Amino acid sequence: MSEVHGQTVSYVRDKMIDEQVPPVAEAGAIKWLRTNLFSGWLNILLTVISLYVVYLALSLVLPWAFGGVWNAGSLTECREVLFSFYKSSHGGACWAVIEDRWLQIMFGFYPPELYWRPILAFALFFIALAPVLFADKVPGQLIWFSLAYPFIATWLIWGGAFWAPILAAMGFVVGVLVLKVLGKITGPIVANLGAVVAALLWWGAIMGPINDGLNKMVGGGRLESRIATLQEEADRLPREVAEMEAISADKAAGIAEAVAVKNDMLQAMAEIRIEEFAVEAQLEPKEIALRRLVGAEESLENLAAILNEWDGDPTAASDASETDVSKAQVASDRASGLIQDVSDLLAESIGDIENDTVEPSVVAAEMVASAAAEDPSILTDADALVAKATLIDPLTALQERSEGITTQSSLDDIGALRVDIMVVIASLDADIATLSGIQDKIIASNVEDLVEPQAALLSQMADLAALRDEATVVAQDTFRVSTAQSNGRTFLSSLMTLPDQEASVPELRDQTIALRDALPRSQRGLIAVSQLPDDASSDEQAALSGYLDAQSTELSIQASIADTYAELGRVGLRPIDSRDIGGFMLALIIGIAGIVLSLPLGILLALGRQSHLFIVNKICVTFIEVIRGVPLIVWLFTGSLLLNYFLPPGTNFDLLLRVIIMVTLFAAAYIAEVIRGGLAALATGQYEGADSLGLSYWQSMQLIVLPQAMKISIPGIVNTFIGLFKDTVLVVFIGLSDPIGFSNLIRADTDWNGIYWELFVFIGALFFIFCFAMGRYSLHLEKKLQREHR
Amino acid sequence: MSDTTTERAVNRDAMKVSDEVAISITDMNKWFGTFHVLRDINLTVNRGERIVVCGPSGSGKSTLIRCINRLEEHQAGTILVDGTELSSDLKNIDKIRSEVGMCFQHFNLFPHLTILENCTLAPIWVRKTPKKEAEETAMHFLRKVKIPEQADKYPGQLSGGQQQRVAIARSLCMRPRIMLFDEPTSALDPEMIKEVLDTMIELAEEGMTMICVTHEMGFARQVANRVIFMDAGQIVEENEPEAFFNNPQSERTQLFLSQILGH
Ligand SMILES: Nc1ncnc2c1ncn2[C@@H]1O[C@H](COP(=O)(O)OP(=O)(O)OP(=O)(O)O)[C@@H](O)[C@H]1O
Ligand SMILES: [Mg+2]
Repeated sequence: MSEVHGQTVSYVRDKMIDEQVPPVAEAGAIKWLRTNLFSGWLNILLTVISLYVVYLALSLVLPWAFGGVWNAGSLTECREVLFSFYKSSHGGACWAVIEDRWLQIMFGFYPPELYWRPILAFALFFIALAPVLFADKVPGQLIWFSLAYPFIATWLIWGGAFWAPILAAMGFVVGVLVLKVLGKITGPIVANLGAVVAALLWWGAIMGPINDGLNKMVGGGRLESRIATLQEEADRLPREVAEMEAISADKAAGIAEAVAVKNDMLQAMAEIRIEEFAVEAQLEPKEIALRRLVGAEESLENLAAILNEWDGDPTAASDASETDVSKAQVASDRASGLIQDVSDLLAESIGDIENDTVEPSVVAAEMVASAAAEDPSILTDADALVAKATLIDPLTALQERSEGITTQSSLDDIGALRVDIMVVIASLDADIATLSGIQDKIIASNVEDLVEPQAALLSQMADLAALRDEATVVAQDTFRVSTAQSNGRTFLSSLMTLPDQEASVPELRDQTIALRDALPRSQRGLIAVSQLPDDASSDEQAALSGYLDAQSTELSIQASIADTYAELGRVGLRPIDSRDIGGFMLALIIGIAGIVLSLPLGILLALGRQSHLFIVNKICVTFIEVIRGVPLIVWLFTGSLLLNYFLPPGTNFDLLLRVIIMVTLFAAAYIAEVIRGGLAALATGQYEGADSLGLSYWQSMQLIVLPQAMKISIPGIVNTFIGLFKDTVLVVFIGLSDPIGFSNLIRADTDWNGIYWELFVFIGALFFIFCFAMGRYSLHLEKKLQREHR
Repeated sequence: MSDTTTERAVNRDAMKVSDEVAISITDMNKWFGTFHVLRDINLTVNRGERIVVCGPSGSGKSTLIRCINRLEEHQAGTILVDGTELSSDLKNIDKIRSEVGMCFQHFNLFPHLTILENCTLAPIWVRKTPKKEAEETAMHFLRKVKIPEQADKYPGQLSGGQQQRVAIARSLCMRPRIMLFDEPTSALDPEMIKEVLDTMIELAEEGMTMICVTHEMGFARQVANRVIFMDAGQIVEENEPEAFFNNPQSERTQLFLSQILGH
């Protein structure tokens, strides 16, 4: 074959050209730049504009953020330090507030010695999350930990006896057991209802007595030893508190000393700068005067132009038309205005220079005194400084001359005046230039002189901050011990009276029963005297109120016994009040609880909205529409104020819990709509496929429909979650101290009054980290699912 | 489109019809709103019978076989499947559905599960078969439909014919006593049609009771022991394949057959 070709084809390439590197402009970074940033004139324009905007933004923000002060005890101190660096108190951020208060922004009023509890809860959260987020990478048994996590976390954060979370979790176990047993005997609806009833029964009626019993059992055994330790503590703690107070006083003295040193340093730095200030005082009025003179000179120029064009007084000519007359009028008015301006500006600049606070000679003396010692050239400059009088005299003469000018003055006169003003301008200009030169030299030599004191100031501020931290720790310890002391005292007295109280219970009960039996049968169920019929006699009223009093005494004694035992018998963590939980931790608790609870609720609502069961469907639709149609803040107010109104009196329903419920319901409505979109996007064939295999409704939902619908809905779900998480800051309006609430609290402190930006930047950054992470995870998940089942 | 069927000899002797009744439909009527889709349907299918249902589009073929496993609800008459009456009792419905396999025109595989998971899902969750056993069964049927090597892929990665065979295997994994096919080959290329029909013929040879909506007349001739022609919601003609094709009684059937076989 090849020979044939060799003859018939005139030229066949038998050697391939080696592969070549593409031209520089078509490869690597340059190619990338060309195609992405500079591909056409519009693109180039946009690139340049955006680069410029980015540069502008960064050039404002970065120096502010990175030139900030980290160690200071108050906004005033911050400003002092900033001023000693930049000669302006706005040159940098005052991050010291974050340094000082970040623990509060994170944890609220949670006791600092117990910070490990929320931190541990948060760390465990990620372990609990692993089986959900990375199901394919961790062992399946970990899901049990995820299920137990809500109880563990609640216990860690709020504290209490270790059996409390176990008892609470048992409610679910009871529910599931009942479901299993009833499921075998009856239909699914009865079984589900039975399970719910059983769980509620457990939580409402069985859990409390078991808890009390455990408390009593453990507490009874500890009574003696506890009384002994408390008495021993009562002797010891006051001494400890006294010692700590002495230490505190020491620290306060140390701090006062450090503050004095710092003030001296600031003073010294101000002295180094004193010549700068002197020159500035000299410079500023001169610069203003110069601007005025330039203005006067320009006015004269304009005046000359107008007069030149106008050329005399056309109104004198008899043939002047009406328009000419009116034009002449305008020109004459403007000329008069300009003349007035010139005169005023000249007068003002004389005033400026006269007001000039420091004589140039004084400045020169200053130079001699100090700065010149380092830079002799300053002396020469100072010699050249013009005396104030040498400027004022010619200016006064000029001003007098300017008053002589009218619209009738000759152009020559005006020109001459202009030239003379320019001479003064030139001399003033030279004067200013000399001063600026001096100023630059002084600043340059001061910069070096200031380096050391500035560094010393920073380290002094750091020492001061450290001292203050120590003082805070001591103060917290003192507070803790003295609280423990007073609590111990109260508890000791309730322990002492415990036997008496217990002994009095049977008697009180007998008394209550006797009083009750004395009442007419129809009145025994009443709970207030006002419920008696109007015509009840005063004896009847007295009898009922006696019975009610006795009953409430008995109940309160019983409650106090139960409380004492709970405290005595607690094997577990110190309980923390919801009021002490605040800051970013609060946002996280509400956010995470809301997210975890709203997803299942949202799924149920979405399924309900799709359901063919009329009532279920309508309930879900109404719920979703009502919740979605009202702003979250309204629901939060409803939760915090109105809910109490509807609940039976005496039920003390934790505000935080109410907020979590409201946030959950709100987010669930949105999640439901997002998931409904996913369900609608699913082909009916999927439902039919599942049905034809004999899967039950819940099985086909769980195994076929929801996994696919959820996959479609991931972006929407995560979006809702991010929104929910950020919306938690709204709780500030119902009096919870979330991060924003805390920023208000911090500002209420006189030390930090007036600080905004730094706090908001910090809080914003905290939220951003979490929201960004959620967004990234959702992208990762989408990609992964996309890969797996196309 | 008629004769894409196999050249291989079909072993009709193996297909025994017993006297036991598998499905019996009496005076069944169904409406969609006011539209009367199925009128007075009477049909008895014995165990081991292979019924082919054909008829023009919109005549109610799909609706009829979907009624048999209650994907559609009928409004009058009775349907007995294996002696159990289809009513709104959920327990009966789930029981019947797990006894009756169904293959759809568009396969309806679950795209988020692998082929193996598709096949083991129902046995594990409905029949409560242990996972291992379910997987063995699934592999057995996947071998039978000749795609065991695809077990770990996702449905989206398979061809149409392969997907339909998976769908058949998925139904078989529930060990159904009756199989319903709703135009299993009409979304496929001729090549793939053959794969699927081969599988169905094998099933028939094993004695499976089948009701098959299809326009594959070759398949009907070879495999069916009765062909049913439907029009406008009614069973117009019902006969053995030879008689049905060679000697159609009603005019409507003749017209339909001439259209479908004519060219
Ligand atoms: N869900 C429904 N609601 C209302 N009408 C329907 C519904 N499903 C089917 N129909 C109507 O019922 C009639 C019968 O439909 P069916 O799907 O049973 O026809 P078919 O014989 O299977 O037709 P094809 O050969 O095109 O599949 C059609 O006219 C159709 O429009
Ligand atoms: Mg059809």
